[in-house]
Amino acid sequence: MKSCVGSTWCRYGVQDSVGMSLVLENRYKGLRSPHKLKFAVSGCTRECAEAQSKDVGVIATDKGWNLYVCGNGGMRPRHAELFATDLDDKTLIRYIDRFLMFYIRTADKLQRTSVWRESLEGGLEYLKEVIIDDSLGLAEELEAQMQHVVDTYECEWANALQDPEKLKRFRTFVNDERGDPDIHFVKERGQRRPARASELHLIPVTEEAL
Amino acid sequence: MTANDTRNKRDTLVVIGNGMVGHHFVEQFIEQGGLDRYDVHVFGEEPMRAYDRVHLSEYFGGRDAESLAMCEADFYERDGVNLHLGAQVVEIDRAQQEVVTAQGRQPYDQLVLATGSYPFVPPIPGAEGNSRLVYRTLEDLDAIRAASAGARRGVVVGGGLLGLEAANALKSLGLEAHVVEFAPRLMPVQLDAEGGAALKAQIEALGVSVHVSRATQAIVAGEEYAYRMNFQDDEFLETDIVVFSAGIRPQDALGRQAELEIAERGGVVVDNHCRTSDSNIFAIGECASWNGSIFGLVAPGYTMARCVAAQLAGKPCEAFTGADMSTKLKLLGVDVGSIGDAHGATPGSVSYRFIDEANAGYRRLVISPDGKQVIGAVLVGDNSYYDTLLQYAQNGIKLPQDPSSLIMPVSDGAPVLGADALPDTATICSCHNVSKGAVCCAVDEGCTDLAELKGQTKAATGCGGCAALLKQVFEHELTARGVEVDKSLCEHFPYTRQELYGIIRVEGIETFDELLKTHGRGHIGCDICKPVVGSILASCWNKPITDPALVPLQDTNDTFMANMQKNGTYSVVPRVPGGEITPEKLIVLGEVAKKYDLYTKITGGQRIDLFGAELHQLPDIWSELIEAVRTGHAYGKSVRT
Repeated sequence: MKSCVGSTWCRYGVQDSVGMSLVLENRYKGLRSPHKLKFAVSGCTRECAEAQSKDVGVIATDKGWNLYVCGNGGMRPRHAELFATDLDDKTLIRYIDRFLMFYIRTADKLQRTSVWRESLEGGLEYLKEVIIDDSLGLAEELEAQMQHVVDTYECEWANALQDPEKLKRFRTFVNDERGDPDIHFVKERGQRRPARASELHLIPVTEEAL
Repeated sequence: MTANDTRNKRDTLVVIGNGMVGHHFVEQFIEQGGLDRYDVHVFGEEPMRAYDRVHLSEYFGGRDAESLAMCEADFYERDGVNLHLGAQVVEIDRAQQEVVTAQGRQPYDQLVLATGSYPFVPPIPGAEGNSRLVYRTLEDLDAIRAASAGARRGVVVGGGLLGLEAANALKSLGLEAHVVEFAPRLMPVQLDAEGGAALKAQIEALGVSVHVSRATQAIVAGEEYAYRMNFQDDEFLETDIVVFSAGIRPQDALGRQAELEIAERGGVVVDNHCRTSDSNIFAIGECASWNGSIFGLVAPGYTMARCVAAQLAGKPCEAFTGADMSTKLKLLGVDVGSIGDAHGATPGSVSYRFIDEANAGYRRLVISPDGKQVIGAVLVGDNSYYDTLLQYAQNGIKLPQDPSSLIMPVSDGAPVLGADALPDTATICSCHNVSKGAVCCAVDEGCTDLAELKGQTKAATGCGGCAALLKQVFEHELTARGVEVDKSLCEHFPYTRQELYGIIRVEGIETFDELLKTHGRGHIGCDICKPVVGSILASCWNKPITDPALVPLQDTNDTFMANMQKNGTYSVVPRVPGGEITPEKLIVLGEVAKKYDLYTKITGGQRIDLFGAELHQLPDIWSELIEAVRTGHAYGKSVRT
């Protein structure tokens, strides 16, 4: 999650953007969705964290937080749309809970929030009705579903390291402990990088006479 | 023996020119079965087989010559067509019915001229070398690239369609680009005054300087740059290179030499069947003059090619009776569209205009004097209106109550012309002249797959501009025939992702096998349904993806909880929440990276990516990291940056 340094250090910041980004990242880490999700939190309207290019963008105001949704960078950039203004911490999190779970429930496979939003019948107004006004009566259910994911978070690597059986898959060859002899590196600017084909010293293969 | 007999009876067809139109002709000729009647010889002056001139500026954007080619390298050979490249035809001997090249003579029974055009360079004193470049062929582009080495500024003379493409090319070579246009606006043929002004504003905002109403009178040595272009009224502009794109002239030299009838403004005169004054010789594309007009676009050239290919193959053909010069393009990233009578020249016509000064957007709609039909339109800045407007104009569709709604900004849910409103004659794909009727026909014959439809009809395989419309028409036609548009996830589940999500939630299903047994078909699933179900199960129940039953559902990166890179190694991205990290944790990352010799880079999402780990090293690396940091899920479809 991207954040700017916020009111703690910055002369312009009006809210603690790093603190909020920690709360949000720790809440949603590990959540699986139809496609990747990007977040950012900016501490003032100068928007150093570029939150308006993210699936979920949060920008601090004098009174709280503005929430932006369904932005995207990449191949087809789309500015996130202003979804709700001057939210307190609790309401912000509640709206994001509902928004994410509603997306996970209704999106197509590998569909980012920006494309999902564009294909959503009724557009942004409809989305606001569902998330803010709870027009479908789903809010409580969505929040509970998100809370379940939050409560069951576990670091996948920590989990795997505790079980020798699970680590058995991490081998290049089933009958040899060592790595792949065909992977070659060269040094560049003080670090390793993959060797290009032209840099490999390939041994010419001579064709056998038939 | 019989094979030999028929062979002796075969006639010889010679095609001069292997550009886009010449190539399209051969393609159509083969398709119509013309090879049963003729041996074919194609002569191309350039060393490269036909390539896509429409996308020429992408050559500087990294596309190589091969990827611009119109066909596979063995296309001609495969069908037994003799392709002679780098072979300029210098003479047509009509008496002997032979064409003459430097290499020798080739007899013909029928001859097709597809020699195209050449760029017109106005006779300006002092224009030579790097101040007399043109923009037409790959060789021209190589010359421009060579000239741009060490140059700072480049000027294009001519603010038409190709001129702006050339300016784009100069810009992508890193030059400060200028466009000098003789007329008082850009694209004078396609745009009206307001449209030209809007385009100028948009293009200048992109860093290309535009000078209109400037006639270059001489080019002399410059002071700050290599050359100085002198305009009228003592004005001048200095530059290192000058590219001329001041229009095209039909390449009719062979026609003149062979004493075919030549039009007053150039071009080999053809009739409604593209036949020249010699009944054994045809001319197609930019070298042909029909009714006193040269058509400098690819679509009319293709129409001519189809007309001649069908005649020679002995198939029924439609006469060529002029072409729609409507165009939709993206110039330097700016949408420009022009339809029919863009200037509102029809007496009594009425125009609606939408001007957006804030974004330099402009739209004009020209309506027939009786107020019933769209006869022209101009679009600058947003071509999303183009398809609908073109359909209205081409098919004489009745206007809505308020015609201006056709060019007003679209808000959510505004009506667009639905697929069912189009008549069967409506052209869906102008490049390959595919009508809605042809699409319906393919559907009637049992086509239910979009890719198959494209293969059969060729629709949306030219410039691709009609892809969205094609899909819309296709799905509408399927639905209309009661064919349910198949939205199944894959062959194993007759449900959409959303429906599967509902099933898994409501029934509390926790494994793939259970879902497949209760709601699917088959025994194992596939690469489409497994990751989808894996993702839904994780979203709902959040069980560790390392559980043996869940592992087979994961994509590559999720399987090993790391991101695979191009050489088969993996990268490791620990979580750094909010981009905040203590020095102690940074040191742990540094120590591990050093120990395993991992390439280290800060990511765009304020994290640290460690590259070059081999599969078997991942558990060791993580066992050293895990006290300090946790996984960042960079491998998953999950929360990241």
